[in-house]
Amino acid sequence: MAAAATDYYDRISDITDDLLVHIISFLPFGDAARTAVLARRWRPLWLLTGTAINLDSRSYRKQTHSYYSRDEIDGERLFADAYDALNAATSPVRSLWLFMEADSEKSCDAALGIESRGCYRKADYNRLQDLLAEPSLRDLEEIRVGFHFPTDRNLRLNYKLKLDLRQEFLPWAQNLRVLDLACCRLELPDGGGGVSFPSLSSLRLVTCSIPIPDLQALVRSAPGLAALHIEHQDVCYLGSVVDVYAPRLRSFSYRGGYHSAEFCMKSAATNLMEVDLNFNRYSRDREENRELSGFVWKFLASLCGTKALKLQLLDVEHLVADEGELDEPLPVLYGLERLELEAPQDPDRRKEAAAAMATLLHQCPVIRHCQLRFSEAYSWRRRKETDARPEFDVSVDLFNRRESKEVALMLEGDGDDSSCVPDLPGLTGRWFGCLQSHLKYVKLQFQFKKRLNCFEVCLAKFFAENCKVLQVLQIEDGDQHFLSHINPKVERWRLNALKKSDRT
Amino acid sequence: MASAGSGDEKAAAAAMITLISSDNEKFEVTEATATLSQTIRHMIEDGCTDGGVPLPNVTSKILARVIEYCKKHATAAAGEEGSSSSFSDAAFLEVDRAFLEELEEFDDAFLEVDRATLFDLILAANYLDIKGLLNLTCQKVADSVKGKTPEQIREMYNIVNDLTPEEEAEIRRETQWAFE
Repeated sequence: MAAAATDYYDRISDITDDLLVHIISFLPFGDAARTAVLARRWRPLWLLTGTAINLDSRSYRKQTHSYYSRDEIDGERLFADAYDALNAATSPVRSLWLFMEADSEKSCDAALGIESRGCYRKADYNRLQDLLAEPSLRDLEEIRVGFHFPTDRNLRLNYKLKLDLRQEFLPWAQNLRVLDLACCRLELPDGGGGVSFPSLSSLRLVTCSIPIPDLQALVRSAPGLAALHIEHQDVCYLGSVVDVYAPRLRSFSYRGGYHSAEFCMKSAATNLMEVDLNFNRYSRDREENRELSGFVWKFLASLCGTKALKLQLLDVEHLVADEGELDEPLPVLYGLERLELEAPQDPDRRKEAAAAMATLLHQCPVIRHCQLRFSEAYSWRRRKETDARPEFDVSVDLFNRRESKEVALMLEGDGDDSSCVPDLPGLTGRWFGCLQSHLKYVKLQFQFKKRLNCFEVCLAKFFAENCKVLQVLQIEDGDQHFLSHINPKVERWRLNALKKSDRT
Repeated sequence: MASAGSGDEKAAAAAMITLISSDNEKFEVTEATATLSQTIRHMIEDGCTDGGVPLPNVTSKILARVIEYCKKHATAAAGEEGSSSSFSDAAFLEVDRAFLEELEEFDDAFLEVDRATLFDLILAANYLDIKGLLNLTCQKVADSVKGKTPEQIREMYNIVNDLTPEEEAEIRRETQWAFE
């Protein structure tokens, strides 16, 4: 230690008070308060950081000897500290962060002061609601509430903390900019008529539950809302259409099941820049699962002005839509310049995947950047055979295996003839507006654990030959290294295609 | 790395700024790199950068590190401000996750320095007004004291306790909740 001491002489005393305050502001407030006893100079500093209150249950574990409640949280002390910090703050508190980590619903309830009698949970009171009503929090701009249940993952979906968003309880409603809640049951009594969040610009609800009319009212009460993120919304409350009235919306993101929510933009979202949709669960209703493609396009219909779209699906075929069967024509994503698609693709169903690509390209007339990431369709049989795969040698070796024979044949010949790569029915030969003058960057990523399929080769060739203004075609295949064989080919395909078009 | 290379070439055509460290070493950087520093940005706007920008508070050792940081982060910023590129190009760079991850890795590696250097970086970031670097380095110091007792922190940073025992007891009483 002596040696270390001479190496690092007291450099912290070179730092100005302002900078020390800045450093302390990164600390949880317990740690921040403890810096007061370091030395005379430090004593007042932590009080100057009072712009954030970070409540983290992990610092408030109390050991009990009972088997059933080994890890209880001392909620009383946690919230008492919050009030102390609030009273001690000399500058307005602008952000409040609560993070609860608990092993059970019961210990979480206890920490939040929610009483329960038998199985009946008396949810009308909780300590957070009480704290939020504190008048000295009137300058609050940011509220984040997060939960973590390490031992029971289902609790993340099922635990609900009731929060009443009635105006008279909330001294900070005028100033709030960011509301980021997890595991909350939100209530806006009287149909949300009396609420107003004039400064709210970002609303993020993760595994929350809120009745549809209340959600609509909440969004409507925030005329400046720029970002809306909804994730794993409680399915009991959804299932019908949510009307979103948010004229200033720039970013919309949804994560959850197909058919568990539908959103419909009621305002002209002319500012819409980014849409991020991640459908990760099938509907429980089998009938609904049959019409998933219709569902995806319907969902996109009211978001079609967006400039960037990130789309994650459970199967790339959910993009295949037969216009004849749909009530309305497919929406044209008229503003879309950048697309990121991520979906599993079944190697045995090349034709369907090609149809999905065709539909997509057709509906995106001005797309410039396109990133497509295909992974393997989930299958037990294939999963068993996966191993860690070393580099190039093995990839050559795999090339000679039966399953990869087709691809190997495509890439083997080094003549100029590209005819050994088959065309993609439904894609090759069709005319796409975006390929003529817009699509410049294509990135293909293939994450197949075992089987190499020729869809990727065909698709690479399609883009190489048909994109008139292509600048970059990037192909990646994770750890597989099959595609290191493709890249030299791509150049050749492209040159051939250019020559051909010159001749005609 | 190819993209970073082409970025540099493009910027080479643009204006270069000479930064002069306290020990008189000269560093040529692009304007895009230099303007990550608000202090230098203002100097450029005021047109007083001809003949180099003297930085009497920053040694060449630290300035080299600061420039390393700015270069890396300027490539990120360049995408957003690229003059001719339209929104989509910017968005492409902006949300390119691989790039952001790379940037994070860079930041982590960048912070692998001894404490004396870390404090020098804080002072330089503050003087040059580089927000990202300042937050990064201050966060690093905060992380190092998180969960530590005052005694441990004093030892770690050689802080001399100049409080009388009575004063210290009084402060501990005031902030008792933080010590339980």
